[in-house]
Amino acid sequence: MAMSGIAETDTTVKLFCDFIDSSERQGPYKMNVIKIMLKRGHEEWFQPISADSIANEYYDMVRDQCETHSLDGISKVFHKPFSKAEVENHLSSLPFAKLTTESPRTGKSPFKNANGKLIVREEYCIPTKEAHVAIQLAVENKLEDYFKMKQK
Amino acid sequence: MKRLLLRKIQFALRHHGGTASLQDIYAYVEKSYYQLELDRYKDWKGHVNKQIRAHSSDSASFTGKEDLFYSTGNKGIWGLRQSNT
Repeated sequence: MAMSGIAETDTTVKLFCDFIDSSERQGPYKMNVIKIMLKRGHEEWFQPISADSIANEYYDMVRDQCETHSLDGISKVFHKPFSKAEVENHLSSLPFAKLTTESPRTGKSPFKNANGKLIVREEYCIPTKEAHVAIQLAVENKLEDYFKMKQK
Repeated sequence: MKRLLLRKIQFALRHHGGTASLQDIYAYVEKSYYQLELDRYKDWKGHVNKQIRAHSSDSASFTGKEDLFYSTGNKGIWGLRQSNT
């Protein structure tokens, strides 16, 4: 009973991973955003993130995936030299918007949008190594599935 | 939201190795100020303090429900009770 608050986090992490697992595969966009968030470590991964702060890293990540996995159907934004404004627009209209959309399988998204920033809902803000590892694994699996599907 | 605040306090104590000063707890909780809807309170620090006391059998304000925190004996320093499970 004493640790009920923290103990409940296992179910929450599972819900978060289910949301990742059930998301539609329209590109590596959404997973890349979560991947960048996770790079901040297990204590900070869920802190709000803005398109402005991740545009450069995100652009390089998608470009790298395009080359490594010969991806087609990737937004034209990534087929031309880096334009911060265009990448920010892309981030806001695609991954940020899609990540905040309700999932048909898991219901309410763990993300929400506030003042242009992508925010993890408080109930999913879990600063543990276990949560970080589990979410990282779910993201990597999802990306791997996507790359495999594209190679077929 | 109360549930989430309690969990945040637990994470704050865990982050500081199991015990922390009220100031450290406030600083940790404040990062989620709007998410936890602390803007609803005139004195949000007082609210956090009240929640800690309400969930500690070492406090006179203990509600008798969940005994999550303990007083270390040093003024303003609280600790996280270990799980019984």
